[in-house]
Amino acid sequence: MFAKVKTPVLCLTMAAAAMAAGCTEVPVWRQGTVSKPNMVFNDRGAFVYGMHLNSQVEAGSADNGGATAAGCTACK
Amino acid sequence: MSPRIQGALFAALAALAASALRADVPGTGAILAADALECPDVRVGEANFQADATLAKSQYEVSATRTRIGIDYAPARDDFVTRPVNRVEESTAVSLTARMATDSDFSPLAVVGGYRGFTDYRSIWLDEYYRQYFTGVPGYAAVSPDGWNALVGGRWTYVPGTAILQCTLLRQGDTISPGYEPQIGAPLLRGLSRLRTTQVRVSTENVVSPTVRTLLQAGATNTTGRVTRYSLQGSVNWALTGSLTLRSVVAGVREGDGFHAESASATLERDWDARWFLGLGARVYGDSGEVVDPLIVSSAAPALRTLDVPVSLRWQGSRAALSVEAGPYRTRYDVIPLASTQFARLYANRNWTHVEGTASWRF
Repeated sequence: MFAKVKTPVLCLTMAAAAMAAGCTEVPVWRQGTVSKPNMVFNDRGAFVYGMHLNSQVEAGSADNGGATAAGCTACK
Repeated sequence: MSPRIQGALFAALAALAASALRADVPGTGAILAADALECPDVRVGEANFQADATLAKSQYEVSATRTRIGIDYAPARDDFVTRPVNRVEESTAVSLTARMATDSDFSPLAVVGGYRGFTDYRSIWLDEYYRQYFTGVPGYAAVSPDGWNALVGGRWTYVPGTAILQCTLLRQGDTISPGYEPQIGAPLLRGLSRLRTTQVRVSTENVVSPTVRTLLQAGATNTTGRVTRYSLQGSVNWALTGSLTLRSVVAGVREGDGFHAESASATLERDWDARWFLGLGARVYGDSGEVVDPLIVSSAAPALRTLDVPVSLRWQGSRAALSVEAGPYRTRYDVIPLASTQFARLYANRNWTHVEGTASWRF
């Protein structure tokens, strides 16, 4: 399904979502729940979710490009 | 990456680690993590150490990763040239990150890093295959893979405490072990061995209600010899009750008409006083494969589907945190084209086990 979606549509969706989210302001005193360690988006430490070694197998998960994502460039 | 740069980064790591381990320096921390992904013929192990320190309101972080990959190479049924061999490769990666504090809502970010060694089991398998086939043949040359990367970006808190926008620009260089193609009456045709990658990524994180936090990420990545890759990922963390949290992620990647991938995951986690966390997750992934023409020989991967079902246990203390996560990981490929059956063992269906453990300290 994703393959059918055009890039400009995705960009517009991103921008709209970002702006819409910015319109809602949740006061800090009501952010106790969303500040729990398993509610934040952490890129390091004990509360990182998801297996990062899956990029060993999944070409579409190696989102940094480069050697891992471009293994096939070497073989065609 | 030159040994001199690698040495400098290791020196920075040692200095920051030393300061992080001194309890009298505020704003310092350290993280130790170990990951393993194993199946009967492939073993991947990774150990990572990170240390960070806050100096003059800015945060500096160094990271060192050691990876060990072992494969039991075995030739395909109709391959009478190559021989079974057990091969182990080790690689090292280091990086230095700086997050600068300013008086405004904007904070710049910079990362430099590098690595030496093979980064994945597939490239080791292919390197072994070509090494056994073509060593001594004109045109063949062994390669020691390495690479560097540099990232600059910024983080803008456009609604204080509620909404954050981050933009990054990455430039990356890789030297890889290339593929080879025999030619009649001429040296081997050698594939690309030097790759350059440029990536732009935009992400926005928002607190949309007292119980929902979202993250949207979009990126465009261009690597030598490939069509630009576009990626989009949406994540929602939703506190269903005071102690039950649902984390969900949907992601998609597209590379022209030749490759696309989609994935979705959900993790349900129960916590006890925000101190102990027990989670159960499931993640599915599928891609179109990278085979362009099934009638010609290609080491490109056929279409892939995977399933990962992890169970996790985490503990959060006042200054320390621990986590352990483990589960089965199933990978299933489409049937490999008849022209490329010599790579059938590389793209075999596998049942993996993965285990991850992390410990972190704040001082």
